Amino acid sequence: MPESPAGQPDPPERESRMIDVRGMIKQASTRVRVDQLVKKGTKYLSLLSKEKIDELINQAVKNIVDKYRAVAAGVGDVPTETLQGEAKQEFNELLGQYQATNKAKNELELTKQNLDKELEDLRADLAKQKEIASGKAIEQAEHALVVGFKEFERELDRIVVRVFEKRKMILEQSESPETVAELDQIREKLRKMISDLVGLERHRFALAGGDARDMQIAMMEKRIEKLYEQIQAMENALRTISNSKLYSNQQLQNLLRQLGLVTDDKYFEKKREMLKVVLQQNLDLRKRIKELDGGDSNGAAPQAVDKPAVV
Amino acid sequence: MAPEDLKLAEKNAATSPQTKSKEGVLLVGMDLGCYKTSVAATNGSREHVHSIVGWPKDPIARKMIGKDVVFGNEAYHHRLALETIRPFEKGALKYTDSQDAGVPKERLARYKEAARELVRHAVHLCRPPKGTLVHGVIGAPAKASIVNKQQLIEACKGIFDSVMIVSEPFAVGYGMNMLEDCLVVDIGAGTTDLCRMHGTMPEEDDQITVTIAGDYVDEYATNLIKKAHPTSQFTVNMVRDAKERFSFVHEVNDKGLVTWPDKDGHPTEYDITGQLKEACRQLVPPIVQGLRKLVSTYDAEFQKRMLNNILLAGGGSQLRGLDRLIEEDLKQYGGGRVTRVPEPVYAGANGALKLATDMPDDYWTEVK
Repeated sequence: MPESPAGQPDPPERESRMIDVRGMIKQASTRVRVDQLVKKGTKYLSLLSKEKIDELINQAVKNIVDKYRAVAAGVGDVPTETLQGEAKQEFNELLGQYQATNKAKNELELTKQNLDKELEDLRADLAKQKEIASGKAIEQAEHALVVGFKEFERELDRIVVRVFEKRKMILEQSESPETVAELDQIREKLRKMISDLVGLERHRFALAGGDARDMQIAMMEKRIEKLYEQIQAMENALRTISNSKLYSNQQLQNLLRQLGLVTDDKYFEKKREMLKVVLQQNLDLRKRIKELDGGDSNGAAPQAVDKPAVV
Repeated sequence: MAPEDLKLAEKNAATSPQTKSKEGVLLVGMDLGCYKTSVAATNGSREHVHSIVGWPKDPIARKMIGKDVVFGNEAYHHRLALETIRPFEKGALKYTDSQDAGVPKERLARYKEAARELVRHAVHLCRPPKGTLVHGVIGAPAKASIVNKQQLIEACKGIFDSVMIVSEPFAVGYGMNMLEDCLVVDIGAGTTDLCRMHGTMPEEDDQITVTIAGDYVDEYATNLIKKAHPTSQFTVNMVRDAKERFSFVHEVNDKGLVTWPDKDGHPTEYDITGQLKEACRQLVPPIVQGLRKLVSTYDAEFQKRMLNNILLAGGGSQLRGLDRLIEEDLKQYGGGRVTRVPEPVYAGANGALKLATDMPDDYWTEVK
């Protein structure tokens, strides 16, 4: 949609402009109301400003002129059709690149939002963990730990007492009072041993829990650091995309590399060109096959009668 | 719209690319070899199969085998009960005129059918999930004609959603990331392809294809062995097996001893070392000649660098001593260095897959 909003004045013309694209667009286009389009069933509109179209066309023409200048052929020597065709192709390519960049920009913005949200969650988690580590919540945790172990100790004690009581009753009926007294001594010793053992285990458990918590916090902090780095790089990329001219993408490449989105390949550009040639060859091949089929309706495959190549 | 039309429309819609594309895309690299076909796909599948297709000769064979069409080793083992075809034997369909490859006119259609079945089977080996778009890059001999490429494209019709044909040695070079000042020699069964890589897409003058390759060696060895051991009984397949086990071209102490039946059917040991060696050495002169041609017509400044960057690929590269023999011959040009690819069987398929994965999405729609 090349029209600018109604009533809004066109921006001042640039001195370097080669073609009056805006004027041409104005002349060649028809104004349509949005509600008319909606009535027709149009749901989405792709917007491309006049400035952008102007810029793309000028860039396309400039590239083609530069190309012929570079080969010292001179634009005057090249047929107009060739120039027009190549400029059109160049324009389409630039337009495609612009659209792709725009799409990438939107995706990056979305990713940034997601990352921000995840970071917020992480921050909250970390704050909680730090609270525990710094002692605000540790008392609660310690309390829960102590209560749990005390319960366990009491239960063990009850079992020991019950066992010894039964034994005592049996001994009282059959053995001497010295034996019963000895049993009482053993019971006291055993209860003390159990109490010591439980205390020791409680201490060990608390220590182990503390270590694990420290490790968790360290890991979280590392994750946050990494996320911060990624966000920083992404913000830089966003800024560069927003301000970039289509042909100066080296900085953008560096940023993408920093984000781990681009692998270093010294043949990257060559491969791109090669793939283009592969596509062109395949398109030519299909074209020639069609021609071949049209010329020889009986099938063009060379045939002969000889010994069969059957295993 | 009539109910029949509606049903048809629904059926078409169910199989249309738009519907299918929702399920995802599987990219496949395929090396349709004269002897072995290898495939590699983006889902991690890497398979190879002997390029042989067989149909049961009669209902009894069909009952015994339990399949309408068999491939690879299975076809090879049951070949007596099957009508077997190696669709690309001696470069048939792929490179040579069918007449040169010995394909009778009336059987050409059957060869094409076999090629199609083989491609279908190779793609099936990659286990594409139902509804997935399958895009493929297929290697063709460097100097394959339009008709040959047409036959390859026809073999892929209906199996791939879109397919591209590339030169086999180029695919190998691309796969190995050797795109500059490098010579790729792909020794297959039907053809030996040489390609000069110089940073741009190889052109007509950068590629050479010769038909002296694995199949030629097998036949040559068969004739030599027949002459040397006239009482022995063997087939070309047995010679190929022996070649794969004992083949070498350089001076080594290994002996090629095989136990084959004599004319009375008694298992007898034969020494075929000399015959195998001589047959395998037939590969060397055309390769060296091709290398010389490609190097001597290259920019003089870069000739040395190219000579130090020769890459041997394909099944034939497994011949022991071939690299050393080529290096010896290159000494008259100031020496050179020959390297073998790490995986000769998959080098072509891996390269084709790499091309397929690097290909922008919209390119596939253009060649549909």
